[in-house]
Amino acid sequence: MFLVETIAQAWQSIRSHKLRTGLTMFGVIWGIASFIILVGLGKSTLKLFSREFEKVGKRMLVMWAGQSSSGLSGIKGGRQIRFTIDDVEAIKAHCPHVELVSPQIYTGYQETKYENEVLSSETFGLDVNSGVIRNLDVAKGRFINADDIALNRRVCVLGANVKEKLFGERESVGEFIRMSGIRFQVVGVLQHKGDQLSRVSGSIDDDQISIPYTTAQALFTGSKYFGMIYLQPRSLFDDKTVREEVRQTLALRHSFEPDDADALHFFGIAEMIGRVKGVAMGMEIFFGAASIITLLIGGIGVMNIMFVSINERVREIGIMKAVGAKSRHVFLQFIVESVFVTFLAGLIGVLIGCSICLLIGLFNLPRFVAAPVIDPFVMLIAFLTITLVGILSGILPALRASRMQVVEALRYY
Amino acid sequence: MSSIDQYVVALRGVTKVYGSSDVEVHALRGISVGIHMGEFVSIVGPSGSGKTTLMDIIGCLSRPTSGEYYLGGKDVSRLNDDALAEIRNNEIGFVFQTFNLIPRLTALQNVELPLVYAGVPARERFRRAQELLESVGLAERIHHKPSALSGGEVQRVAVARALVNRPSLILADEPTGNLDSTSEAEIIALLKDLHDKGNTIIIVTHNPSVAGQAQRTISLKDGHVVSDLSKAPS
Repeated sequence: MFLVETIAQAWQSIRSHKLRTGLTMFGVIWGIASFIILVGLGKSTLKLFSREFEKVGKRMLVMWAGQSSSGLSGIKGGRQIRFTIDDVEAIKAHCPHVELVSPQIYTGYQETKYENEVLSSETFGLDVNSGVIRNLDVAKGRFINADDIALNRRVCVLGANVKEKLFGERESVGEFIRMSGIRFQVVGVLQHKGDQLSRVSGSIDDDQISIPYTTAQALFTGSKYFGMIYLQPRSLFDDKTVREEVRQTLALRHSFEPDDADALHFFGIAEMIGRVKGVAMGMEIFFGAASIITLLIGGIGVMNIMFVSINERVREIGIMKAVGAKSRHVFLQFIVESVFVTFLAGLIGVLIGCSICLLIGLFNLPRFVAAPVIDPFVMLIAFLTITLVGILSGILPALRASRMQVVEALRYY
Repeated sequence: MSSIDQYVVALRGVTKVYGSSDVEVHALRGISVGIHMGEFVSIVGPSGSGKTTLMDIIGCLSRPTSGEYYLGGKDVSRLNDDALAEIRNNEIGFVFQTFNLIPRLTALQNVELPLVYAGVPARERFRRAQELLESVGLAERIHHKPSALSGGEVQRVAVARALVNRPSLILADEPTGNLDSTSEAEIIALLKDLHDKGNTIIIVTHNPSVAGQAQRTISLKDGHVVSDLSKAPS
């Protein structure tokens, strides 16, 4: 109940010095608003880039074959390692943290033709699982299936742009196209993905054509060997474990040391997101710290104005004490006033910060700029910081006020 | 002095020394005074006689350097600051020469202030403050700030504030010092009326006409009581 009185009095004291209080509050308002905007920007940037990277496959882990640097059990080092489908089967059998695995056979750019339209499209020989691993979602028709693989069928799945360029608005599923003169039946069209920050090769997924890997081997590469295997760990956190399991499995089959860094190369989404996370977190910490420092300087402004206010109100403190205010009443009075000013400023800062976040979202932003997100956790931190700054700014002035001697304060002119 | 219990205010050998050991100022040099319940006492003396210091001690605003002070039978001469604040809150009503109202607060809020520290609920505070402001003739002005009131009105608000906690002692320090003669008469009449209602009043003044209103006059000089005269009841 005393607190209610105190807050009412604090409000009156603030109202009687509007300009002065307003100017003091500016530092805190600025600090909190920039904290919310900048940290929000860091968070939205991370989200944006994570989403961008996940386009290529949300847990995709690419492995390509290198050269063994040392030999094992009498076999010389320096050999080029080449994968076969047996390696894929071995990984399926022996690597429990691998959820999905598929070969990927690069067949290069093929001249693609439908009626009078001619294109040069990057083509990949894929397996049944590849669609899931690489986030290739079918919009129409179907993806490559087990029968296609088993029978070396001449079927293809078109990227959205390929379909658009060859067929326009016309139906494509069921139609036949020619790739380097060979007839392929279109069995499916992929969903439109748009531009990609991360790609499996030079072209974006929308510009590619997928065919069964067995068909690719039979018609284009003429070899049972291939250079890349695509994996999907059970979770992003399994990335490291999967690499270890796969190394162990293949080391045995290809006679290289399991810790041979040159034999197998990996690159995965977890790694990319990890890097972006590092950058984004660095950004967040830097921006956050910068705005917290602004906030602290704002707090020093509040402390200063509290001292001024107390020096102006020595008589008042004397009166308060003469009619029965104890030290803690006086202390509380000024702490509340300080917290009140800071909190009010913080509230305005939060409102301004959030409005600016929302306002930025209304604009058409450049491709890799995301509107700052308003994060509840950031809000919580902001309010805790404001309260802390208010208390810290008030402690010294309030202590001075509460320690004044009543007789001296009463007769202060 | 037989027993301290029969006095509202009982001082025994009270001294007050200001300053450090090098530069000592002896403001009070052994004051022993007893004031009964319901008395109207004036304390007079020239500047530097120690009357303000004595008033500070009686009002529990400061502690004696030595000697004892019993207020309502309780030794308050060694209490700490917060305990003294509580005594001031419960037992003493102050009326100051410079009024000492808080300028930001309305008349009503100023009168309520002691009750805020006493923890009285808002409704009860309002009722008591309003009643007292009415009784000092300010019913129409309870929501005015001190700056919108005349000197006499401000001092009447101060009197209302002094009464709001139902003190056992009202201490007035030169209460008419800043007032014109009309307002002075009003305030004196108000204090006499309070005395008639049974309140104990101590008034510190160097104005002989104000001092003459009291039943009893204690004169100080150089920190000593030089005379303590009571009027025969008229």
